[in-house]
Amino acid sequence: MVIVDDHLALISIAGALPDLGASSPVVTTYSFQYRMARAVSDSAQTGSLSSRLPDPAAALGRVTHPPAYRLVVLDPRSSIDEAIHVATSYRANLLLAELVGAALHHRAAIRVTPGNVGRTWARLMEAEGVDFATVEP
Amino acid sequence: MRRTNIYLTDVEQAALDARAAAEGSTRSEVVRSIVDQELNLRPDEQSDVDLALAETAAGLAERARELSRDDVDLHIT
Repeated sequence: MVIVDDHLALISIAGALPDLGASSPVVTTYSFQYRMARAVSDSAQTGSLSSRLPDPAAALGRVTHPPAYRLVVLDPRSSIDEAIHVATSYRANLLLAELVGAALHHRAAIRVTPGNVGRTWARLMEAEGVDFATVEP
Repeated sequence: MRRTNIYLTDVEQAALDARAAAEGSTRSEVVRSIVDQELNLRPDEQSDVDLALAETAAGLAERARELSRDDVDLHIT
């Protein structure tokens, strides 16, 4: 299992994911799904990407209910113990605690785009023994 | 494929067998078909929506970061 960020999740939903160097299935967290759904909805409202996103309602539906063969959204309740461990040990916010907690619980790898890597992430992943790498989209 | 044992009620088994008989299929094939359909597991070609999402993914990801910048729970730290 490989957990991806919102950027890679969008590409995965679109069926255009590059090689992640980790075994499938491709999954994401609820927080990352929320972020990408909010971005799609916001873009539809503001019309910022209207020329390239002609059917924002369909796009939003694809993001909120992605086909399982392309992307699965993990239930955060299953890894809450690990997420709380990460939050209390590293003062991680919800996004990071859920991400690393899910990786620990499911023994999954994490792949994110360079723009979504926080300052402390690499050190935290190493300390927790998580297979972590960045992927150029 | 992996062998999987599940418990079904008598009514569910009878309904599955009736469907299988009507389709000239087997109970296993009917269960797999229902699971595929319910979980949307059948790969398809890239739709127009998929192509649009692929083209706008970078812009949407940047917008997601902007929207989360003032959200203590969801921003990248």
